[in-house]
Amino acid sequence: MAIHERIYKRLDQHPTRAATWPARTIGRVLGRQAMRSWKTRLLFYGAFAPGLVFGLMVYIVTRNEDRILRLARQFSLTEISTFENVDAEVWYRCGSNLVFMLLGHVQVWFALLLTAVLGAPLVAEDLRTQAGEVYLARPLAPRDYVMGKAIVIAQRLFVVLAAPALFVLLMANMLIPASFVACLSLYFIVVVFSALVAVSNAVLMLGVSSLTRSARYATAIWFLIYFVTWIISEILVAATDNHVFELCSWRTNQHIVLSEMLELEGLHEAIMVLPSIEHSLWPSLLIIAVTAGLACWTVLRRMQPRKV
Amino acid sequence: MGSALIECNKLARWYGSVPALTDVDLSVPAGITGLLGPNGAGKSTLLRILTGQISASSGICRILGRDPMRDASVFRDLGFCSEDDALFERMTAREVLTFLARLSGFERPAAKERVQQVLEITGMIANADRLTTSFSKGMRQRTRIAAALLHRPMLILLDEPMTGLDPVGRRDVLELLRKLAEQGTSVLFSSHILHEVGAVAAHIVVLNRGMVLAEGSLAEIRADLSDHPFTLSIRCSDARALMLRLGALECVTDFKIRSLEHLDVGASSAAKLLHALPSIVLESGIGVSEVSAPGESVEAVFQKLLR
Repeated sequence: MAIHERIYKRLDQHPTRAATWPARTIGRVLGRQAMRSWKTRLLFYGAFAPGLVFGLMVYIVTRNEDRILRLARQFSLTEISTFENVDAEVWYRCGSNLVFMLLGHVQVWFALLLTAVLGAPLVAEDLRTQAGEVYLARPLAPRDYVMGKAIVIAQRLFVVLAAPALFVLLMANMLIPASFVACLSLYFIVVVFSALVAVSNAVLMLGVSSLTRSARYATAIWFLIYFVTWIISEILVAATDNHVFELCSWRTNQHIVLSEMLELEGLHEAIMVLPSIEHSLWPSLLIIAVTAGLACWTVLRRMQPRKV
Repeated sequence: MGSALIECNKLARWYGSVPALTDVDLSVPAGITGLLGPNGAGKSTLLRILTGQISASSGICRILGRDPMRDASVFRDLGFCSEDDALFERMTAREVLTFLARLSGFERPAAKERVQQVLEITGMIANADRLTTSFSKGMRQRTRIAAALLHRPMLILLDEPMTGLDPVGRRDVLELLRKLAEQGTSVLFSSHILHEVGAVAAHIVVLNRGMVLAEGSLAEIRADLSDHPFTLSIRCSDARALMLRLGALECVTDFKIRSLEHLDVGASSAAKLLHALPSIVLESGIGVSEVSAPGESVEAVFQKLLR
């Protein structure tokens, strides 16, 4: 028995004779099925393009550092002197963080689209075709079902978010070996942030998908949640000048987490090219966790036997 | 009760103010059991409760000694094919079955082997690699029955398994149920088509308006009904003479002479008429070639119970 099966058995007190971890089986089979669509494949593989572009940019910048600084001086960019005065380690860290933040912002859009394409039909289709009872007539608990479906989305989102960033980071470290130690924590941040966005998006999308029997409606609700909360929070912030309202937006919370993890406050002090961050990490994390928890509860309620 | 595969005690379920099941006490032994009842009798509700798809409003239900609501492991020994046309789309029959076999705990090679077996058993081998969306209703039904058989369960619950099948398909399914019973698998299947139940079920549960009207073998149910009005069809050498002899019996209520050699006898008590008939025939010397009880088919028993 594999280690994960042993752990699963122990945690879940799952019945014996479990040759497979049901959630993993669901994730693998449905994931493969989802990737049969050329649209999904295009979106998934297309999400690696920004990584290649950023990698190319990093290559060009590191190979032409002197020329770029000379050009910047020529065009009288004001903060260039600041760059020259900062410590090399801070410079490497700030530069890497900045690159990852920009890349992260691009990848989050791909994650948004991929979540909709992969996740919208996952529960909605089961409700429409009543396939939920096919699952529940097998020796698996409703939480296996939710975990399996979440794996379908989260696995691919994680790859889309983490792989391009790790590629760019690795490339930068290879081109400037001295930057490796300064950027070590960034590897951890990339993995943690990617996992956080992947899991939270996946669970929220499942919750949305379980609200309807139509994948189209689920997609519409997903975009509504993403964009409407964002627009409303921006309007409220503009009207009241109170940044607490930013926490109402799913998108902004993810961006706050990213910014806070990258310590952009420190970046702001060092190079003064970025706006300062108004929030701390924990409220956003809490809001993401509570929303994901509610979504998970919604799916479980929809899938569990109906009580009288 | 101890050897019963399914035990229900005062099981009830309401949909809002509408009772779907009322105080159902049930004990299903091994073998083939038919759940008989008209549409809306509560058959599907009972099967859904037994498989943990919905909860009971009150009462206790144990299937293979376990509570299906709390113990998902019961599905290792239980196969279920619901009435709903539920099947994964955008997958071939083979993929659906392999996926379900994996969920039931089969390793990949074992799953493939078992899927091949059930495809052969259910006659789906020729269509195994077609998408389920292109299937006819009968093919979908066969695939779902195959899914219920996949993990070699001890007990299979089938809700209206013959729905959507053509006559050949129905015969095949009935034959399959017989084979499964011979191999030691118990089957509980629901139907509102009476001859299907009568053809294979050793144990019958008659359900109507959420209540169990009768339970037992067809013979036992018939015996319970022996004091009910009853009609006997007799082919004999002299119908008129036999009518005169039988007319002396208190329980005989009416006659219908179909021809000189064919007589229908109505009686208020089946038991009394059947007890008296052999001696009357022997004493009179009338040659009797055939005695049948057209009203004693499973259909007639069912109609009597419903009345």
